[in-house]
This record gives sequence, C-alpha cells and structure tokens, in this order.
Amino acid sequence: MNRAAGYALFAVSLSLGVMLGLEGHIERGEAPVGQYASYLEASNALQQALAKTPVLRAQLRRAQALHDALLAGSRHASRGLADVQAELRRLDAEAGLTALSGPGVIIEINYDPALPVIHGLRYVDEATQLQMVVNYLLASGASGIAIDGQRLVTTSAIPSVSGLEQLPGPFAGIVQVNDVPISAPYTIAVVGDSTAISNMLEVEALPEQFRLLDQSFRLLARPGSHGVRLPAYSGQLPGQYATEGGE
Amino acid sequence: MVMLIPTVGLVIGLAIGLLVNVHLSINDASYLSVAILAALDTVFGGIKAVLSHKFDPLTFLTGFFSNTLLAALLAFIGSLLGVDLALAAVVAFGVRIFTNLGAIRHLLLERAKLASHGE
Repeated sequence: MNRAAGYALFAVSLSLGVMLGLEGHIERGEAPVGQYASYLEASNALQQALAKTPVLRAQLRRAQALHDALLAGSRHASRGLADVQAELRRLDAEAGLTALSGPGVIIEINYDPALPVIHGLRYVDEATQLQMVVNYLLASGASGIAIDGQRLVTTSAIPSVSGLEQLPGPFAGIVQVNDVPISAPYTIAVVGDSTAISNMLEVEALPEQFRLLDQSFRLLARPGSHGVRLPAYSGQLPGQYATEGGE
Repeated sequence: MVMLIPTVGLVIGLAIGLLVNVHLSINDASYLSVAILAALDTVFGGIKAVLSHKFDPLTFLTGFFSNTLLAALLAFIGSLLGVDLALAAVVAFGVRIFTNLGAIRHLLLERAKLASHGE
C-alpha cells in the first residue's frame, strides 16, 4: 500500500469516526414534532388532534373552574381562619386565659402584727372580705384581677376552706382561689383605671372598714402602661375534660 | 498495517466527535445519518475497489467527501422543499451498500477458491 492510499484511508476513517462520534451528541429525548413519515400518518395525527381538542378544552375548563374554586376557597378559609384566630385571642384575653398588663392598682391587705391574736375573740371571714373587694373592683371597671398570683376568671371561686370552729382569729383562716390555697397577707393586683378604682374604694370606705377590723388596707396606684402585670389563668376550664357523647 | 491505519483513524475520529462540545438537535440527525450512510457506501466501495485491484486513493477520497456532503446537502434541500429527499438518499445508498457488500462477498469467495485451488 502506497503512502497516498494510507493517507486516504486515514482521512476517510477519521472523518467517519468524527461523524459517528457526533451522532452521540444528538438529543433524541423528544420525538420530532410535526414530522410525519407519510401523508397518511400526518392525516391520522391531525384527525386525532381534532378529536382530542374539544375533550381537552372541556378538561381545561373544568380544571380552570376547579382552580378558581380552590383559590376562592383558600382565600375564604384563610380569611375565616384569621378571623377565628383573632376572635379566639380576644376571647382568651377577656376570659383571663392570657397574661394582662396595664395601668392599675395593687392592694395589700394585712393585719396589724402588733395586735395580739385572741383565739375565737373576733372572727373575720377573709374569703368574704376578698369577695367584697373583688366585687367593688369589678364594679369600678377592672379589666383583670389576680389574688396572690391567681388570676380571677368567670369560674373562679373564693371559698373559705376552714370550719368556723377551727378559726382562731383574724387572718387565721385558709382561702382558696382557683383551688389554690392562699393566706394573708393578700396582694390583689388589678388592671384598670387606677383613678376610678381608687375613687370607688375610697367612696365605699374600704380602708376604714378593714381598719375597724385591725387590718391594713393599702392601695398603691400603678398608672404606667405596664404598671401591673397579671398572669394568665392556668387552672382547669369547664369542659376541658369533656368528650363527645356517643350512642 | 492495512487494518491499523483505518482503525487508528476511526478511534481518533470517534474521540474527536465525542469530545467536541456541540449540541445537535434531532433535526440535524437526518442530515448526519444520511452523511454517514453515504460515507459507509464509499467505504464499502473502496473495499470493493481494493479487492478488485482498482483502488485509487484520489477517487476514494474525493468520492467519500463528495458523497457525504452531497447526501447531507440533499437531505437539507429536501427539508427546505418539504420533500423527503433523505429517504431517497437512504434508499439509493442502501441499495449501493448491499450491492457493494455482495460484490465484496463474491470477491472474497473467489479469492478463497483461488487460494484453495492453489494449495
């Protein structure tokens, strides 16, 4: 084989190799669109496309309607959910289930430690006293009340849990608030209009009444925006352990 | 040596073709396929010429490139005209390839017969 034949063979094989290698770069992932081998194939494809068009349009309309419905529903749901959550927050605040802070007063009720405790001589029902004070505070427009850290809610009770015979004297009883026993000295934190509360208590002469019973009734005004902070109610709620009735 | 040159050329060409960074669409596939078919036709024609002792390197080389380029050009023009000329090229080159293959087979058999009679 002469040199020319060798060059020719090399050039041809090289060119053929390049072409075969380039075949590997062809992206064959998608079938050619709009290319048909024959008129019959193209005609069949056209007939199928024409037949599918109304069906696809109907599907598109249904999908659009569903999309619109879901969109409207989601908007409605999100708005409704936001409204419900806002209402829930408002009700929680009103019910005392959230912490509350604001201007108000602090009332400290104590007995005079200098006085001798005479058992059975003078009985003061402290629960009744506290209930009276709470009633006046509510009447003066208090937004929230807590006694010794126990937040008062609509279901709160202030009972005396000791029998009368066992009470030795002033501030010897045991009072429960939200089923938590508390004892003197009592601290009543109140959020509300401190001026209105002070006026109400002065008009009703509560300090004088407590003084007659040898008790101190001290009122501290906290007019700042965060003057008084009340904790959230953490006790049980009505229906908390209720379950749905069934047949 | 006769087989080494085309083998080396083919391997180098394949490497170049695979390593070159080009992206060919599916529309270019028909041109390239027809060109490869024309190239194979020329190759088989060259083998036939070698076996017939009529091989001419210049004819082989010019035939290879002219056939390849003309086949691709024919397919391209066909796509422009809306006529599937690539199919015509496939048929024409296919027939030529099988004709050449048949001739090669006959020549090889003839050589084999001559070799057996010579023994």
